[in-house]
Amino acid sequence: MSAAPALAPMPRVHLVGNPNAGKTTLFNALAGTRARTGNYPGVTVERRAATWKLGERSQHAEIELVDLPGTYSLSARSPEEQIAVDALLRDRPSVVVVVLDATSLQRSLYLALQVRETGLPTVVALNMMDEARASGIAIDEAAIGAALGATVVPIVASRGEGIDALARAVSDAIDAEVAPAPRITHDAATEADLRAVEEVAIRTLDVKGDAARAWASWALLSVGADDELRDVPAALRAIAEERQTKAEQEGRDLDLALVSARYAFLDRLASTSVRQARPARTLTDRIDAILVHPVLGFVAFALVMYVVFETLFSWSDPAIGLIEDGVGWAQDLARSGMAEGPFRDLLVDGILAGVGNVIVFVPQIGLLFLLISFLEDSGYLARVAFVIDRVMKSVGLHGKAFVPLLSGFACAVPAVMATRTIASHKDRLVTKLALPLMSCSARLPVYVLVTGTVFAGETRIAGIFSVGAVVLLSMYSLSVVATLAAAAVLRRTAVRGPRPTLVLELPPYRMPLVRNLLGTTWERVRAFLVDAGTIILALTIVLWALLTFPKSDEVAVAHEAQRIEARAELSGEALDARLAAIDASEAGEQLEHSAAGRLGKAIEPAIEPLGMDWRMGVGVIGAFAAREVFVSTLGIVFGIGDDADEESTSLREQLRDARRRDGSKLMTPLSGVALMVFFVLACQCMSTLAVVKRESGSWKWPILMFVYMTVLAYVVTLGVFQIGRALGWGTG
Amino acid sequence: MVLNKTMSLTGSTRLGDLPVGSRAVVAEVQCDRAVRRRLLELGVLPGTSVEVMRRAPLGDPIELSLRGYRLSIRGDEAHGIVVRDVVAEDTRVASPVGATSPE
Repeated sequence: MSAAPALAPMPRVHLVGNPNAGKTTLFNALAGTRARTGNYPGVTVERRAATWKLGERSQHAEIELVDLPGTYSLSARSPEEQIAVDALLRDRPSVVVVVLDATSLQRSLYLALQVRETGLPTVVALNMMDEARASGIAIDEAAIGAALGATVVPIVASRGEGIDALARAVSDAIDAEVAPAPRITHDAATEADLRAVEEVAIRTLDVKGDAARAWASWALLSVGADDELRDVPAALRAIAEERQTKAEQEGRDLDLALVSARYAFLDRLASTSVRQARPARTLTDRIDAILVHPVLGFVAFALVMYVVFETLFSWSDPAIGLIEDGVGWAQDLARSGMAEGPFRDLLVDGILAGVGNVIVFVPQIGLLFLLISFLEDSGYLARVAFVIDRVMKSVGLHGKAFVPLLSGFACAVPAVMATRTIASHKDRLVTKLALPLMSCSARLPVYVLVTGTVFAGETRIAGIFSVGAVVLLSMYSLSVVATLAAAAVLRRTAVRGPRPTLVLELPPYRMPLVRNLLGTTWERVRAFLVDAGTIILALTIVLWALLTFPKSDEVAVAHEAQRIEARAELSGEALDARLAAIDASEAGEQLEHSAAGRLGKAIEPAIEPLGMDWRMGVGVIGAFAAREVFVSTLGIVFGIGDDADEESTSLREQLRDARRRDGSKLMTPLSGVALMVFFVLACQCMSTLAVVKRESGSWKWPILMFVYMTVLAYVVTLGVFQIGRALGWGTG
Repeated sequence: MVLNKTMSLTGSTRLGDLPVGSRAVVAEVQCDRAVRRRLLELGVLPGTSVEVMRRAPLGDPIELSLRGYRLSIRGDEAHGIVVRDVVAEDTRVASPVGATSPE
C-alpha cells in the first residue's frame, strides 16, 4: 500500500480555450517556468506541457498540465484542428479546464458546452473577470455551473487571482464523480442521425455514453468530402456521410440543426445568468476610431510596420555585429592556438563558422518575436490583418501574411517563423513558401557589387536617377512581384484548398504581459537554435568541406616555392604584400581544385547561357551558406583573398577585366542584370531551407521550395540574358 | 431610401450591403460549407442580431458586433449572409440586452 501511490499515473489536466481568452497567461501562471515544449506528431503545432504543483492545496501534489491549441470549437477539418478533439476524446484526461473570456460568454460558452458533451470532468475558468465587472457584466456562476455540470471559477489570470480556487476545483474534480453531459434537445430527424452515428462510434471506437454521443455530433459536423482528418474509422466516416447525404436529400440543414441546438441551449442559459448593464468595449472603440480610421489608420499602420522593418533591418545590427565579432574572435583564438592542419580548419571554418551562422539569427528572431507577441497580445495584430486584408486577398493570401512578408525584406528566417500567427495551415504554408522571394538584406551586397562593377559610370536616366539606383529598385520590385505571383500560383497548385477566407475575431485591446512576451520569444529562439540550428551547423560543415577538399599538393608545393623565393628577395612591407598575394593566389587555385570548384566547372555548360562562367558557379555554390558569401567566395576565386567585400575596388576591377574562355567580357551590364535577377529568384540560402523544414515539420516543403525557386531563377535569368543578347543590349 | 439599392434580385438583403451603423437579424447563412460551419459555430446563426461596426480603410473586410464580441469577415462572406429586420443607424435606440431577437 505504501509504495502504490508512487506508481499511480499522475492525473492529466488539459487546458482548452478560445484564442485571446488568456489561456497562455493561465498556463504560464500555473506552470511557472517549468513548461516543456514539443510537437504533436505529424503536425507543426507546438505541444506545451508542464507539471502543475498543487502542493498542499490538494492530495494530488502534482498534475500533468497540457496546453491545447486555442480554438473556438472542437469541430475539425484539418489534422491541426483535430488535435483538440483527439486530446479530449481519445486521451481522456482526468479533468479539462476550459478558459473563457468572461466578457464574451454569449459566444465562448459554445466551446465549454462542447467540452462538457464529451462527458469529461470539466472546470470552467472565467477569465478576465476584472474587465467583465468593469464593463458591468454580471454573471451567475452557479447557474452556469449547474447547467453545464461543471465547476465555474472566476479568475484574473494576468494577476493570479482565483488560481488557488481553480486548483481546489481541479483537485476536487479529479476525485468527484463526473456529472452527466447536459442534454441538448434536437428535432426528431437530427436525433435519429445522431443515434445512427453513435451506434457506429460505440462499435468502432470502443466508447460509450456521453463520449459516443460526442463522437457522433463531432463526426456529423466535421466529416466532409474535402476534409483532411486522420484516423477517423472508415465505418464512422461512412455513416456520417450517409446521414449527411440523407439529410440533404430530405431538405434538412444538418450543420445548422446541430449548431443551433447548442446555441439555443446557451442562449436560454445566458438570458438568465449573464446580464450586461451597458454596452462594453468603449475604450477599444475609441482606440479603433484612430487605429482603423480610413486615413489615420494607414498612418498608424505605416508607423508600426516601419518599426517592425527597422527592428529587423537596422536595430538588430549592433547585436549581430557583436555576435560576428565574437565568432571572429573565437576563430582567431583557435587559429593562433592550434597547429595548422585540417582539424584546425574544421574547427575554425566549419564548426565555429557554423555556430556563428546559427546564432547570428538570434537578434532578429528575438526582436521580431518580442514585437509580434506585443502586437498579437495587445490586439493590434488582428487590426493589421483587418487593414491590409483587401490587398493580401487579391493574391490569395490572408491579411495576417503581411507582417511575415514585410519581414522577408530583412531576412527570410525570422519571417518564415513569423507565419505562425496565421491560423489556417494552408495560408501559412503558402506564405512560408513564397516569402523567400522577397529581396532580403543578404542579397544587397550582391547587388552592390554588381552595380558597382558594371554601372559605375555617371550615366543618369532623365538626368536624375543613376542607372545603378534604377536597377536596384527594379530588383526589389521584381522580388515583390515574384513573391505575390508565386503565392497566387502555389495557392492553385501545390497548396490547393478551399477558397481562402478571413474569419477573424477582433479582440479588445489589452496591455500585454511582459512575462508572456518573454516566454513566447524564448520559446521561438530555443526552437530555432535546437531544430533549425543543428541543420544549419551540419550544412555549414558540409559546405566548408566541399569548398576545401580535395586539396592539391602541386598547388601547395608551387606556392611554397614562391614563398621561399619571395623571402630570399624581399623584406619588410614588400615581403608582406608579396606573401599575402601568394596566399590569395594559392587559396584561389585550391578552391578551383576543390569539389566546389570542380562542381562549378561541371555546371558551367548549364550556367553559361545565363551569362555566368565557372567562377560565378563556385560563387553561387558558396553563397548557399548565405547569399552575401557570394562576394567573398568570388574574392577567393579571383585570387584577391577571402576578405573582399562588395565595396572592394580590386574585386570590381578584377571582375571588369575578367574574360570568358572565348575572350569576351564576363561582366557586362547584361550579365550583371542577369546575375542579380538570378539572386532575386534563386533559393540560395540553407538557413531558409532549414527553418522551413523546422516550421513545416517535413522535408517535403523545403525541397519543393528549393526546386521551384531554382527552376524559376534559371528560366527567368535565361530569358533575360538570351533575349537581351539577341537584342544586343548591354553586351559591350 | 438608402436601403432600396441594397436589395438583391431575389429581394433578400445581404449583410454585405448594409451601411455602417445598421443593425439586422441574420436570416440565412449561405456560404461554402467549411466557412459556413465556422460562422455558425462562431454564433452567426439565423436569429442572431448583428451590427455593422465599420469597414476596413480599403472597404473590405467589415467588422461586425454580435454576441458581445467583434468579428471581421470579408465582403464575399458578408454577401452570403441574408438579413432581415434592418434598422438604420439614425433610428436606432440603445442596444437591447441578449444575443437573439424573438423569432
